[in-house]
Amino acid sequence: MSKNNEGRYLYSVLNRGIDAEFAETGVNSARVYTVIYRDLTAVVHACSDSPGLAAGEGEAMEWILEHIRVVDLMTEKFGTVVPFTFGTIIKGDDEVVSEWLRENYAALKAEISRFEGRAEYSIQIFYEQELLSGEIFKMNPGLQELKGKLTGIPRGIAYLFERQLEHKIAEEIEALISGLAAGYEARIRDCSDSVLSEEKKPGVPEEYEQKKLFVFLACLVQDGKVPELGELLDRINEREGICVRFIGPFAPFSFVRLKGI
Amino acid sequence: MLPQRDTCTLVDLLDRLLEKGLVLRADLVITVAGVPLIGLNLVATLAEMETMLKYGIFEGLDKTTREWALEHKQGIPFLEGEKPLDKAYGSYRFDRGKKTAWKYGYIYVTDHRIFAWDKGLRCFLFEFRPEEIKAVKVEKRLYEKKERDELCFLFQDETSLFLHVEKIRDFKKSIEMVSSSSEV
Repeated sequence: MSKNNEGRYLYSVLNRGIDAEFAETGVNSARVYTVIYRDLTAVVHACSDSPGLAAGEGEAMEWILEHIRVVDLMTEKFGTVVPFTFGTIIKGDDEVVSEWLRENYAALKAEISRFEGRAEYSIQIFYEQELLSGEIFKMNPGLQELKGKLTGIPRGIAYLFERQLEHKIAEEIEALISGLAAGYEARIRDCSDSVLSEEKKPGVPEEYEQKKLFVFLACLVQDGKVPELGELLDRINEREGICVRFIGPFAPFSFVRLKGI
Repeated sequence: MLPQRDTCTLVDLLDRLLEKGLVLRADLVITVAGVPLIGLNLVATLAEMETMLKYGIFEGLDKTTREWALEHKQGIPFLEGEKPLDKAYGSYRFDRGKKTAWKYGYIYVTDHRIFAWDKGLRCFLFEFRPEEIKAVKVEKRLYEKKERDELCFLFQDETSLFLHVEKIRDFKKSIEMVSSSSEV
């Protein structure tokens, strides 16, 4: 293949000079190897400059899992990495990759040093509406009184009172969970280097589908602080009606600030 | 509480991989007809991916790319003349006196056998021939306190294998096709 129609699919940048070729394959079963500039290494595979689209959903998923597997493997073998977003192909060959590392050496070194000894975790905290409604109802005499009025009155009026009751409970839940969210987030921040609020609804396993998400954070956490964070989440999880999902570690995808270098 | 990776959903991964991470400047990156590479950078959720599939965004395979990919692809180790009939991404668990944990992988049904192959490690996760199956049925079983359909294999040696895949009944049909042809 001539130099003109080559590309290099990029997985991650390592904070060491590692000359290696890996037995494990990458996206679309490609051979994964490294390109070095001084003490920085790009993990790549060689591909054509007119890469194809995935042949279907199954293949697309396979590629995504392969990408994350390579990023995870590099983290496992060599420590901190700066991960590339999925599907990044640089035009050109190994020399172009090495040149890109050279040009952005200082920026990449600075970025990678922020991640040294740290990993990204996702924290999702859910509440169970029914349990919290019951709790609020028990604690609030005003609501109990409103419910008491429902018996022995005409159906139309009872209906209006019921709506009023539901509305009040919803308001109370809202107030309760905003207070809880602020408290939880502050305590999670204390255990983390950096915390970002996620905007998208996460994909959750079936057991969480009926629950309502009210805290969704990406956290950059020092390796030594993970047990402390775990204990904090245990305490949060113990509260009736609250349930925590703690996943990771991931390479620090959410905390990469370098864009368009 | 320990952080979990094995309960990660595809969307957990997609959100990270497709929208986050290091991004190169546009003049360095290859794009396909204006779509950053594999058409997936634009995809945020599975639902959107389904929309893209519907509109054929993944289907514009360039011939030379396909040839190139085929040439470089280290394939699944099919036997000579072996015909793949079905493939599904799913989870499986063995019960050989002692229950093992649920593991994930691509499961293949061919006219010769049923197997799961780890592409990264290039090894079989499991492999068996239709003759080894004593019975196969879809059963309602509990997973994470919820009921779901699982495909249960009972083997001649009385060990069991449980599979969970998305289109479980279609997958079972493929397996029955292999089993019936082996009986003949």
